[in-house]
Amino acid sequence: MRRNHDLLLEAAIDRAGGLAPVVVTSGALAAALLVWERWFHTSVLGLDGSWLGSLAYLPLLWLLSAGSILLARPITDRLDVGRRARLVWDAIAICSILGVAFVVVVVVHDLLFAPPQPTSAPGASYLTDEQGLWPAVRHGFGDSLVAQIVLLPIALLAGIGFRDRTNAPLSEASLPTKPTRDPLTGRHTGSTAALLSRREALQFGAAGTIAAAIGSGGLVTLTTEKAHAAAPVDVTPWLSRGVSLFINEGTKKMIDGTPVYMWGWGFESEGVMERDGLHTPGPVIWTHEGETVELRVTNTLNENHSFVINGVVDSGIISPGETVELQFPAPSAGTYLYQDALNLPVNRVLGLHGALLVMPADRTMRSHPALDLQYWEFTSQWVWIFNEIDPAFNAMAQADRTIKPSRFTRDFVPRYFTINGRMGSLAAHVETAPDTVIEDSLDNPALIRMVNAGIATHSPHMHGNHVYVLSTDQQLEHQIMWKDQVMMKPGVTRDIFLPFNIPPNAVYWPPHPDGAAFLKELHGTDMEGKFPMHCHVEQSQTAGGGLYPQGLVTDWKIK
Amino acid sequence: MTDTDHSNFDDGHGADLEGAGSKAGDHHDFSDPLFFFDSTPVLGSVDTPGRVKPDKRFEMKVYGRKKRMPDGEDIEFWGFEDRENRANKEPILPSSPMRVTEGDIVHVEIKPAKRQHTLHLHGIESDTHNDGVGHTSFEVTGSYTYQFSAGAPFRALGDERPKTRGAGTYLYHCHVNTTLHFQMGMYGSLIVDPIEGPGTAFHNGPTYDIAAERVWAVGEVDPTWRDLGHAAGMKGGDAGLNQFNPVYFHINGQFQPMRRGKTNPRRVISNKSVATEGKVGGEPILIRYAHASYTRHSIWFEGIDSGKLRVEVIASDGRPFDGLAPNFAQPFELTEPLEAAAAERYDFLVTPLKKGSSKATIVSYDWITGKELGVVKTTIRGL
Repeated sequence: MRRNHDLLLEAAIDRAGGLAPVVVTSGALAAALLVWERWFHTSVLGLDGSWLGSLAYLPLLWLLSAGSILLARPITDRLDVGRRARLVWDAIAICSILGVAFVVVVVVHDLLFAPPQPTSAPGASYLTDEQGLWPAVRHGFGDSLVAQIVLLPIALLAGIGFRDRTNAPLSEASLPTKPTRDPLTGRHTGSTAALLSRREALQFGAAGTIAAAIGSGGLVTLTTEKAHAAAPVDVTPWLSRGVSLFINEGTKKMIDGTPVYMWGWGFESEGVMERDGLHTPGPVIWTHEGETVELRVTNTLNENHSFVINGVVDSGIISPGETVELQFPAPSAGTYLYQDALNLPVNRVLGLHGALLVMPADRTMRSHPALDLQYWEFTSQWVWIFNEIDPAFNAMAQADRTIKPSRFTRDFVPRYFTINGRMGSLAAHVETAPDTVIEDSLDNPALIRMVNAGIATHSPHMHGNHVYVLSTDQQLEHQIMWKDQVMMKPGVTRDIFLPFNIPPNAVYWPPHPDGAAFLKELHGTDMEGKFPMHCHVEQSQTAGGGLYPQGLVTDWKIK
Repeated sequence: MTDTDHSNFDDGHGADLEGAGSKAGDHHDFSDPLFFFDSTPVLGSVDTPGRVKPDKRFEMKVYGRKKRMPDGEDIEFWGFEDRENRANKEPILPSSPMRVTEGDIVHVEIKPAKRQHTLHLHGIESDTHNDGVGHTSFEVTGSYTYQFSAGAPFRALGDERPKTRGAGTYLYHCHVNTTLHFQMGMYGSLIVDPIEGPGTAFHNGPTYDIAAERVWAVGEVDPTWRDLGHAAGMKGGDAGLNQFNPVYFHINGQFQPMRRGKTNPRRVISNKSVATEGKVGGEPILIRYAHASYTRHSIWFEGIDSGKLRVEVIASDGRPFDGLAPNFAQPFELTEPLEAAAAERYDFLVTPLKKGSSKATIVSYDWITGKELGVVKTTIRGL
């Protein structure tokens, strides 16, 4: 069972740049502190003492140094300063914390073993032969200040050595450049199956926002998020075993800043938990044919809700405060929409939806056992869930007013359009949407499981490659078409196959170096090979009635 | 990002944007609603990287003109027009057609004249630089020549493998503030012929009567969007672009007759650019249907019910049903209305079985309520 404080420690280590930099830097700090103090006391102050005795303090100082680094980095991450200034602040914060810790060590040492000895050395007037707390504190502070002469340069150098590589923005830093793939789902553990724990983020508020990434195999790694980014990376988790869901409420910020009340999901699975989370869509639940799915669903709200997968499982009404346990054999391979089917489609569109995906029993990387592996084996798989929001109805739900489905459908004026709960630029960059934006090298096909949880008919359009439409609502297509547009009616799931081919009409591939260099200079980042996916019912490209293209859009990239 | 960058996107008419550009800085705040806007470079004239000699070349200027609707209203349209269509006083709706052959290197030059536009060759998949999407590349105010190779699959210049799976119907359009610009009429058809040339649907595919071939770009017009500026809503504020309430319905700019402010389903569009005819026992008719709007369509040929026509669906989105790996798609006969979503294309091979005319009907449905919004009708005649 993985507990929260384990996650917090890992998060702190990750934030500080990883275990190795922390160990090396703290070791250097501890050794320098020890050698310097020893040398200062014997050579400058002319005192005697044994090296062996001092060496006994090394483990303690090492631990204190490591602790200082772990505490300091989250604090400095909150400063909105440039790269160089941040290095200086890092060093100051680490040395301050370590300095105070060292004072405590000296004081305890003095009180337990020996009082400070007076000396004639200039500048050492802080030492007296008196006993007691105050002289010990003066001794500690004096030594600590003197020690800063060596500590500050080391902290600064270590920062230059490690910080840039390890704690730069999320994309380059904490996401592995060559992500490892989960052998069962094909997902990139650590990058695509990342999960932000909202509660942990709040608990660790003073330390900035922490994102915990959960590999689909249950492997937990951690990623950090830029502290100044206004919106946290709220990643849809992929869960498989021992899943508990919690129907929650809360407020989400739309991309234009408008706060909107929504229903959403908290979860708990294999020790990872965010019981009071507000995920819309809910966690992706994945399993294999032939397995049994066990779910617990708790309604924490004050009106009835339900958990339904059409033709698979129906919880019936879940009363306020009630928890239901559902157990059902995994249905045939495919992508399923789970939803609160009460008051359909109102409760679904207000946030209570998510995806269940069932993979073939033979553990092959295809969406359906009848598909020929020669053609349809994928390298990675993704879930894209579409939805739209009319804040007027969300406000009605917040006020506990009854919403009639007939009125909902008739008067619904969508103002925000989401893919995996995000809009526009937040949905189109891997930094903020690692569960949506697909980046891979050529000939690594991606299976995309599209789910329309909303109320509108969408028409996703893929740039860069045509896609093959494999199935609709778990049924293999009679005719697998090669399309650049895929109709998505409300409540429908469709699996598409993105071949990651060379864009067929490119005159050059790799793209002409002049063009690639030009785009890189324009955008400040590598743009070649980056293509949008957006809904071609273009109203869905707006937010709040304008702001093109801040709606149902994402990007995919050939690396 | 500075405030002055925002002024690049001016919705006033005639603002000079020559050479203006904005660069995405080190600090990417994706949650800023103006992020795409700020990070979309607006450039004057840009060179085409690795420009080679083209087999086909088009030069598209941007126009804005008014057109009289069936109820007497004058409505503004924007679009692209090539050299041959410059003399027009009326808007060209859809924009000037392009026709190329598989294997051609094609150049499409756009000259937006001051306000920024792009040309996205929907369904044609080139490199990012030539994809015509602002937020991944740039928007153009001066001129840019999009370069691509027609046909698929295609790996690199100098690759001599046959390019034989990309013949079909494409729909190019402007990709700047697309919600508005597409709806204003900035779209047109791009037809890729197989190496056999016009008259054959795709490589080793069925032949058809060239004279009877029609593109049906089926669109709708919401007049309330006509008064919005070029960059409506781009800088924030509610421009109402999330609501599309079409009033006028057309095929190829030929509007369905109206009665009392609504489309009149009893009438048909008889203009020869839409309606077509073919000999019984002769070559079949190819209808290239393209959804050029934001609703859900349902397409039906009444001649199927009466036994006058046989209709086969032979391609979609510029990809033939040619029976080849990996999907082995086969042409199928239409036996029930075909539904299509925004920007989908279907190629129908229509064989007249009996003499006489029959209606083809395309009904538009609201994307949320599913309510019928309007209808367009035309005729196919067997001779």
